[in-house]
Amino acid sequence: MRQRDKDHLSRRHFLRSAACAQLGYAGLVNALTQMRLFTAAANAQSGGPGDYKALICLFLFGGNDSNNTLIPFNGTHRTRYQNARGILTIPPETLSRIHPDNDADAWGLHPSCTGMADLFNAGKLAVVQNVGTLVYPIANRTEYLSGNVPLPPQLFSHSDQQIQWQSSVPDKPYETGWGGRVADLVNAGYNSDGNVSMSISLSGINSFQVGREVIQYVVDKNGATSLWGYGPADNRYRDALNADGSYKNSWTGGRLQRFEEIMNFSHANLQEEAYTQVIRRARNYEGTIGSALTEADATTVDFDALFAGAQTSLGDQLKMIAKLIGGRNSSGNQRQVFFCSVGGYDTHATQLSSHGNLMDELSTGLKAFQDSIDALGLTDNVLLFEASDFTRTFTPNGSSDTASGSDHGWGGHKIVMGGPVRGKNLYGHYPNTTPGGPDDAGGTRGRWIPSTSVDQYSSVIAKWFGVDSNAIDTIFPNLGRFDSPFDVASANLDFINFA
Amino acid sequence: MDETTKARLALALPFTALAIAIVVGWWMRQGSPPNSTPETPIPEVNETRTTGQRPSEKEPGAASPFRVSPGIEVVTPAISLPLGNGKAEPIELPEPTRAPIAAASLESLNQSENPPEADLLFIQDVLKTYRAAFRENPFGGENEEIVAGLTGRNARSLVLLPPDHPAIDEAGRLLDRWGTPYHFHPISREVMDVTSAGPDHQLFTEDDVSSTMVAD
Repeated sequence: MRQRDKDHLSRRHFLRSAACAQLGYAGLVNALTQMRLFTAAANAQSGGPGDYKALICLFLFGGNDSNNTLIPFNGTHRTRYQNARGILTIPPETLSRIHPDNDADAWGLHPSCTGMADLFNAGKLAVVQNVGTLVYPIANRTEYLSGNVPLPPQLFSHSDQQIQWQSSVPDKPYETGWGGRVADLVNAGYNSDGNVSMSISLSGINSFQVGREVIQYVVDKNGATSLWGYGPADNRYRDALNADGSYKNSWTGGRLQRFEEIMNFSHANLQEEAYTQVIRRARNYEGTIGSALTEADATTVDFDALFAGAQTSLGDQLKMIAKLIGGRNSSGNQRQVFFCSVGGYDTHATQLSSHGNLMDELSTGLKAFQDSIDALGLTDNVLLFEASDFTRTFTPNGSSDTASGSDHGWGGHKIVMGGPVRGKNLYGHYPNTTPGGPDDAGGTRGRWIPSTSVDQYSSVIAKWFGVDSNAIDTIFPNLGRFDSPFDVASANLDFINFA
Repeated sequence: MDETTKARLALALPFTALAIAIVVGWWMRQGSPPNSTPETPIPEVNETRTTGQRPSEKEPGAASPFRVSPGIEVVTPAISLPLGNGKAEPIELPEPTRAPIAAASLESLNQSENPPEADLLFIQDVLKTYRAAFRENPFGGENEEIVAGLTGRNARSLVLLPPDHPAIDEAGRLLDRWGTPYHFHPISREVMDVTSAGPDHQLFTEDDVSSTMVAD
């Protein structure tokens, strides 16, 4: 690992840093503008109608216990696991077995993850081990305890770690998410014919998709969220249109017509103009999403059947994403970023049962989604990656198998899925899971110091999506502090096939 | 804007910029430590102190990651941990200072004449005082880490709980009135839930007392 710089703050240093920060932010905006031009030019030469890519961020809110998602089956790792996990131990014979090509040890996934294990063994899913937020590399427990290496602020707090995972800039106040920065970069180059924002969220406004230019558009499991008063549950404008799209000669038809005429006025006042733009855009996007769903329904893919075993919150979100990908021609975008999420992973209590249910929801949802993408013939065009606040403590917080759970940890194992993934492999490095051992961040609870930073993990994904090497450091400003995931073999982050 | 105003502004702006530059330059000189540059590397360790022990048990000279200034009585937490405030640690921590928390309040913690909810309210008040000073919760997720921050292991060596408080055990953990360590749950930099396991000593059972259950 590279050595981090020392951080010594004097008044002069502060002023210099502040000045540099100002220049840095101005530089970032300029750099992104420049990069956008390059990307647009590159796409004009090489991109084509078939060059479609969709990136899905799945966030597991609360901190998934990935120590019980990827589980050692035998060997040294298994011995350490059995010695420390207490009531959270999952018997080896119950595991969903996986057989990584690049790891001689035997592994399994949580017993409820049978679908994910099938995907893994079929080469469509991989696990990147011990990933977490870092400001600088931390070699081991001694260096962690030394205090010489700046740590991510509020390291074990939910909301801070969620934001840091989504921004990939843990040591600066939050401004944008890395998904938003990537969208800002590639949007002009790939989505000139787009009819809807390339950033679509199935889970409300999120930090990941916040950019400076591309706005995130929120839909739900049923599609676009209608403006208040337009939806089928409201009678103000219900049944207002004829089949040909003209206004009905009715009270509601007239009301809708007048309202839309008002919304189409131009305003000299900027705030008024912006307000009507939001309304118009929402109406337009709603129409586009409706068209995309109609297009998806016209495909031969039976989404309802594929998701029959995944009728959960996550399954519903992934089903809508699969449909929107199926209707991608209506959106007109060649690059789309989706965000979905599930809560409930903060398993301080009753973990054995609740985590089992969560793993079942995760596994069935991912399997149905990948099957849908395969059925659409877009296996190599879609990539899903998982993120979570942190993993959880290796040791349990009690001795009751019905009441106890685990607490906030740090580095965890991440799932990446899709045709572009070099599946059936484990990447990164599995920690020494000895509580109080060299990878434990203080104490003896088993909170793993990440061996791979969020920046390294995310940059590989961003590169696949179209961020070239000239722009990668702009999107991930701290990436240079860590071993290059592209050039340093020992980082073991070659989890995507860029060919 | 009329022409006269524009002319005045054009005249005034360079002078204003010059004045700001002079003031900033003077301030930077004042702030510059003698015989040092910002690039001066930070020494790895200035002085060491034993950790994992109560203050009364310390063994001078034993290995420790803590860097303290010679001659200053620094409150040493019972476990070793970084400050965790997002920065590399300074060479010297300032002299310990007591936060203005009434002695009577400190003594009231875990007293049987008060209801258990009062203990949670007191701990939340201490955390609130910490946040008022640092604009964030103490570093860490474990009881002993949070308590270390409250007992002086922080960037200002601010002591909100005396490290020898009877409710703090040998491992540096804050115990509830039944002798079980409180469970600290960091939600955000401004929200920290605290739970007592209650009389059955078992967390996440019906007799738990949580700060989420008591009025703030």
